[in-house]
Amino acid sequence: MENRSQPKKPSQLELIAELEQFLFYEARCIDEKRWDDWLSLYLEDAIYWVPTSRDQVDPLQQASLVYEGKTTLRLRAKRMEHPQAHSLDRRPESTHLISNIMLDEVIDEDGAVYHVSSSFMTLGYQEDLRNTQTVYGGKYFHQLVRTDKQLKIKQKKVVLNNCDAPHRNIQILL
Amino acid sequence: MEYSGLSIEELENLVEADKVHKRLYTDSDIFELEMDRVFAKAWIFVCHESQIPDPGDFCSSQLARESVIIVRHSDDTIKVLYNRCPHKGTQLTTAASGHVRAFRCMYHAWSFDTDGSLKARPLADAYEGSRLNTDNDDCNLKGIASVESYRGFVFARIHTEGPDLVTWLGEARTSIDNLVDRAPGGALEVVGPPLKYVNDCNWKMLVENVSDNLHALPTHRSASAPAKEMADSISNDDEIPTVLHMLTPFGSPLSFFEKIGQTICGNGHSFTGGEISIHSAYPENEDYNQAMLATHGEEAFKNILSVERHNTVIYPSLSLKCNLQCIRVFRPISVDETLLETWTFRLRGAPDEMLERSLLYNQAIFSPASIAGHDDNEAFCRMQQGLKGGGLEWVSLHRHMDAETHNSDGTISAPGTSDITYRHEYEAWLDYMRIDGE
Repeated sequence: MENRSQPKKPSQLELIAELEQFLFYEARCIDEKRWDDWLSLYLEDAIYWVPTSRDQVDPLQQASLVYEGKTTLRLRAKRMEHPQAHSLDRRPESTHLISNIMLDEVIDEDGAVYHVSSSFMTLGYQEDLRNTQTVYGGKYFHQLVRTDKQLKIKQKKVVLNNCDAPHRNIQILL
Repeated sequence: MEYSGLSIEELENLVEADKVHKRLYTDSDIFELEMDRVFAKAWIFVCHESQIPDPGDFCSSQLARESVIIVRHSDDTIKVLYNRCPHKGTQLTTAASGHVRAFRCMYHAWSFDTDGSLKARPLADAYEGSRLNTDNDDCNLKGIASVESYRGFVFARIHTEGPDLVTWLGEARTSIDNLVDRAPGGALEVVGPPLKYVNDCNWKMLVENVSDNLHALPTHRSASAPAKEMADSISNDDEIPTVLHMLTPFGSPLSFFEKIGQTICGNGHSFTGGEISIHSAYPENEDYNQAMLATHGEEAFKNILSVERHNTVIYPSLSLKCNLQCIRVFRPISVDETLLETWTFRLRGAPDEMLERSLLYNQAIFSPASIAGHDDNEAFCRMQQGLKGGGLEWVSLHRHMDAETHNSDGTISAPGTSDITYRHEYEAWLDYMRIDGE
């Protein structure tokens, strides 16, 4: 997709490297269970969305696997640290791999909004009592903005390849 | 499929007035019998009419072990057909829903009208003189004989004998009434595909959890405690996000859950709540109230919204949340595997916020990626594992054995944490498990 406008600086390659590092950093916060660091990457009005169908356009017209604002994300993070989160007694482990990162579009409004797409494959261990490892795969669509020279997440949409399938627990953060 | 190893006497010995044997949850022979009997003799929820509004519209579902197609025929009647070509057994569709003029088998191109009757098959002459000539009913898609709707809810029954749907629903139908009456426009519409959550446990654990008012506090503390803490930190009540209003009441004291009560309605059906529930204290939506007032008038409006049923069980396949406009459907897969489907409705004529509220709840509680549902699932999985072992043989149903209030409509009410609903479900279960005449 052709960029609507070119950022003036840093250069395109430096910018893409910066965006990549940001995606890797978010994944690392999740894999290392650094929930406060992870939450701090999201704007106060951010949206985290995992649709139930590949072509779902409206999260308010059909159920999603996840469609949450920052309050609910904060609640999620607090639950993960709660001593009585029984399903997390055996801590689930995740490993996120992110690849094929593309800067699809840059929209300049008040500040630049970067639309970044990528492919991911994530392993989740101990999602259930059977000690199995689950493979999740699909596409990420991040909308990132620069505030006070830091990148923040405005929206993260996770389209699982099997978003329409029956799932067992999805306890790890995608 | 019948198992000579399990006589009715043996089954009766597994169900006592105040306890049931663990084999009911772990024995795959019993599971197969349940599919042959409970899920074949009971009316099973298959879809909502809004999923198939026009002739030719179809959707797929599961009825006991069977993959079925529910289709609206050209005369507007609803047919439930086995998803199996009578020629070689090929499934006719793998789609969850769609629209057809005729079903056409992908393998040898036999085609069928939407009532299941054979329309055409290539080189049909070759069947002349055989037993599979066109007059033979075996050429048609096999249908489920018993199909009935109640206010848009479509049920099917494999057995041809038995009570009609309304009789079978009994007083439990009033929960369906209340759910539909909450639509200012007089009807419900399914939105989108359901949430589909596989639980590694016996189907009865999911059904029983619907009425389990004892578990919310200890099991869901990790969701309710942070929600309360976050809500308490907001000084202006109007600014408390809805999700916190939804999760905080899970941490209500057990005395509250005792007080909400529960009522059994016959045939294993029941509801919890009635006058109060954990959904009672949600902020009101003024636009919705106005729309309801305009439709129903003051008195009926108050009557409809004063019904605070927490959960309703239409045994064995369906559960309703009237005031959150959603249903859960239990689809047994194997003795220790159950698919939970959660469907969301739009209340016709209601503001969008009502749908958004329902989606928010379902995603927070019933999604495979939810906040509260994982701890329910953990309890089910641990029960399933725990019951595999030896030593303890029985599962307790002892709470509030004698605390029963007989109501004028024939229902029986009990305190919220009574095991009365489970005892009632097992009474119905044993009735279904009896072969006719036993």
